[in-house]
Amino acid sequence: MHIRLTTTGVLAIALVLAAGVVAVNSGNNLLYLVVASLLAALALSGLLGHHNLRRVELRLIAPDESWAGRPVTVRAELTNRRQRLPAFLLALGETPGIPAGTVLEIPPGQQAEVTLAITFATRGVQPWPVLAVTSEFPFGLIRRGGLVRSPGRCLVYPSPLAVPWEIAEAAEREGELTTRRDPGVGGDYRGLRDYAPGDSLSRVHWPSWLRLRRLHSKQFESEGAPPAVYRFETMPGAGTEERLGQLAWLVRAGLRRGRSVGLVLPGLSIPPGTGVTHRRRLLSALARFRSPT
Amino acid sequence: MRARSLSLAFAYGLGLLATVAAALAPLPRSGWILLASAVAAGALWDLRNLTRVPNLLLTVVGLAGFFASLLPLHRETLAEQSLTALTFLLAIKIFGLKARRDHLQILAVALLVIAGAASLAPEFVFGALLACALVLGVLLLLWLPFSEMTATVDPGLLRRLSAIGLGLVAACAPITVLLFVLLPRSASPYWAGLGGRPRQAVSGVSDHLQLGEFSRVALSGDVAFRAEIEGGGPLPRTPYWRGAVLEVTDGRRWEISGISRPSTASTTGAVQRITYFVEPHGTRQLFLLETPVGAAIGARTQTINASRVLQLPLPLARRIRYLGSSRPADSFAERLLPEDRALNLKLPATFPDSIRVLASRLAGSERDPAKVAARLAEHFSHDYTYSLQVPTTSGDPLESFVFVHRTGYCEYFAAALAVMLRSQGIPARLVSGYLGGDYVPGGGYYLVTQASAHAWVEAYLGGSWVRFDPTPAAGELGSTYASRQGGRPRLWLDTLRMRWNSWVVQYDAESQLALARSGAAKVREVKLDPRAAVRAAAVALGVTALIIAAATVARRRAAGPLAKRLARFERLAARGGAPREPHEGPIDHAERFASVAPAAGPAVRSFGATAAACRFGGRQVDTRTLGELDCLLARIRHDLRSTS
Repeated sequence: MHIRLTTTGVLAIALVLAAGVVAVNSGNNLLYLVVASLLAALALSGLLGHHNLRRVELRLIAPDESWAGRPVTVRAELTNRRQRLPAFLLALGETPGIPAGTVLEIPPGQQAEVTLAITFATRGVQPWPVLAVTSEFPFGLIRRGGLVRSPGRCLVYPSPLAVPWEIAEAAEREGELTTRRDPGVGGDYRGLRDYAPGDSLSRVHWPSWLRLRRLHSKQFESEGAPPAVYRFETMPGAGTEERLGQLAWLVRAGLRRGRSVGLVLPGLSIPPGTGVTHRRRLLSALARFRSPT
Repeated sequence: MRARSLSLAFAYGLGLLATVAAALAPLPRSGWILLASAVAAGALWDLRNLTRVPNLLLTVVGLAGFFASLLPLHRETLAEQSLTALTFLLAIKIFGLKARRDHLQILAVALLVIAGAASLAPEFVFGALLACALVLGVLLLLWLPFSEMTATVDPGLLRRLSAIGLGLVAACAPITVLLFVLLPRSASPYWAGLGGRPRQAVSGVSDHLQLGEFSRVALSGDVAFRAEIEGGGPLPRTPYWRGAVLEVTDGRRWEISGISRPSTASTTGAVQRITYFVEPHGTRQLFLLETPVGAAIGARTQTINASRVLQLPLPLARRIRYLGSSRPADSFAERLLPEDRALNLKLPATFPDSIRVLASRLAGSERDPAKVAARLAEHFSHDYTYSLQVPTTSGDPLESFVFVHRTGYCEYFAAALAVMLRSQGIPARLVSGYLGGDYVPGGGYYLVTQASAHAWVEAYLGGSWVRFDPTPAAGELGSTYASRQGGRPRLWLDTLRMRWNSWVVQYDAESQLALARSGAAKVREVKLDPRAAVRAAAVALGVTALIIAAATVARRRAAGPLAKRLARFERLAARGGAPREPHEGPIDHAERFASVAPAAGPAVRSFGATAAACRFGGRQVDTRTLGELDCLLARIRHDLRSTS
């Protein structure tokens, strides 16, 4: 449990001590009353502050993508599980006293959201960092709180490292030789498939309809760049982490340019593909990769 | 409403309370006028959003004013000077109000100003001001952190915070009372004598008595003292409160002799203990009921001399409390030394023969001094009237009173009887003090005002000083406080004032000691009956068990079924050597628990995952899930047992 006097708290205690000294030396009973009431308020504020943090839970919600070594914006949900009393003045941050986000009030049974910038040092399935949930409630004299780790974990992608273009081009050439192009428009004839609503009538393969009385659509290869397959072994990086970072960079760049991207890792091969799900699959594989050695 | 405006309002409220305190205290008017102006100007500045005066300039002006108020230092006015300086500081702070620190400084200085003002004029109104300031201070402290985090005031939040603030104040009250009683007091505070000039008070009792002075006093409604009767209840008859014994006279003026001898006679009979609360009156006389036998100021026992009076070494400048023991009686035995006899028989050089002749005529052939004294006193009960309006005369005032006007007030009656007794060879003297007073049933004390100031005669008869009161209708003298000042409400108000005075203002080291002693005595008086003690302990245990059970049930109900199972899991983990760390969620904890107890690992991990899914993953906590969790818990328990 973190308990620290704030500057205001130091001032208040100095005031109580000074008033106490003057009271004892002057015999002024009203000053004794002031001292007694301030001491009572200090004691009760301690209790109230302690109670304010009880049954307050923290849960961090992972962002869509987290990259090692880069700050990511994370949503933090603070839930007040008490039934009657609200929780006030909650501050959340990696270091007590330096709040990254604050919440004025969380009514009983409800939750509030704070956004935080968190940086993971390494890739992989990482536990959430320990965060400080503190509160200066009620008087701002004492900051109390605790270090809390949110349940769950966060998948952190390798930190992308730029790769020279010649290496990227070599990988793409290999992809061109070893893989078929993606279906698309303007390329060579690829084959037939069942007609799907929305297919252009100009693509309907009428001879097969005449023969089989079923509608088929003609498929062509895309006219754009050929698929790229990036291999772990061909990366120029010195170690595993560096190579993974380069692969992450290539995957990101390739997909951003609209290419179909595949990945070959020791013990794992992912055929080229496009789209958000494919991108997540590739990057997750990089994030979770464990070197066989 | 802006959040900052609210904290400013609290700070200005504190400033206003300090202004009222400064205005009610005997301080130079400039202090509270400056403070009120600062509050008004500060509020205006804020309302109009005017440019603030630079802080540096305000600090320089504040410090200059502070030291100018303090210098040159005078011991007797130190308290007033300090308070004026604080008032100045507060005015500057209020005008330059900006940051959180300024608010706190205002709270601190305002509390000091109110408490300081109360030391100069210890009235319970300052208690009310202080209470208001403390409530306002709590609300200010509560609101300040919020005002820094939000720009506008949410009425709902404000309502909830106000409720918490007032609840906090209510909860603080009993602790404050306890701490007030227990905080250590100094038997003789170092700064107690500093400052606090004696107030200009009119007192009916002093070390001398000048014919004609009394009428001024008799019209005063000021409180002279309050006397709290031990055991409660009014005294059986109108009490005479003894002040000064005046033995030396020149015909117009009576004075104390300045000779103080220890009392020689022993006193028998019932003794009434009374606690006196005397207002500052600027003279050395203190008051005691009829025949005083002992007195104590604080822990110091006071000597009651042969004249049965109590005198301070210095004029009374502040409120004082002391304990006196008296025997309610008309007379007391005392040996009279020859020189004292001579002093109490001495007539003024200008003593008119006509009074001596009258005294002789009244005594007639009677030789018994007691009967002679009674005849002389009786003389004033006929054809003489009591009046505060005594016509001025160029001749001897006593002769004029006895033979011409036949009207006067207690001093005239007493002085006339005393000299008449002396002329007949009976030692006599004047006693000044107070007669009667208002008994306040709600407070169990007598409230004696200056209007009850009185003078009477003591004659030495048969080895005792016997009281004679020649003033007609003496018991009805001086209109009562209640009738004069507005009836019963005033008495209730005075009861409050009295309680404030006795419980708060004059609570000191001696009171603490007395309280501790009486507490110890009460504890000693308690006789422990073993059966009753066992019964009481059993009842207490039962009640405690019931409270704990009710609290546990309430907590479990509040916790919900998932929390109950998580608690069971944590207990098992603690037993298995992996108590949950505060920062651990169910999955992390399960992982660590599984590493410590590998045999139960699968069940433990499964429980962690399910619990996390329920709590954080939105999985529904239905009967099936709960059953699953229960099975896992049973499995973990079984695995742990089989391992051990």
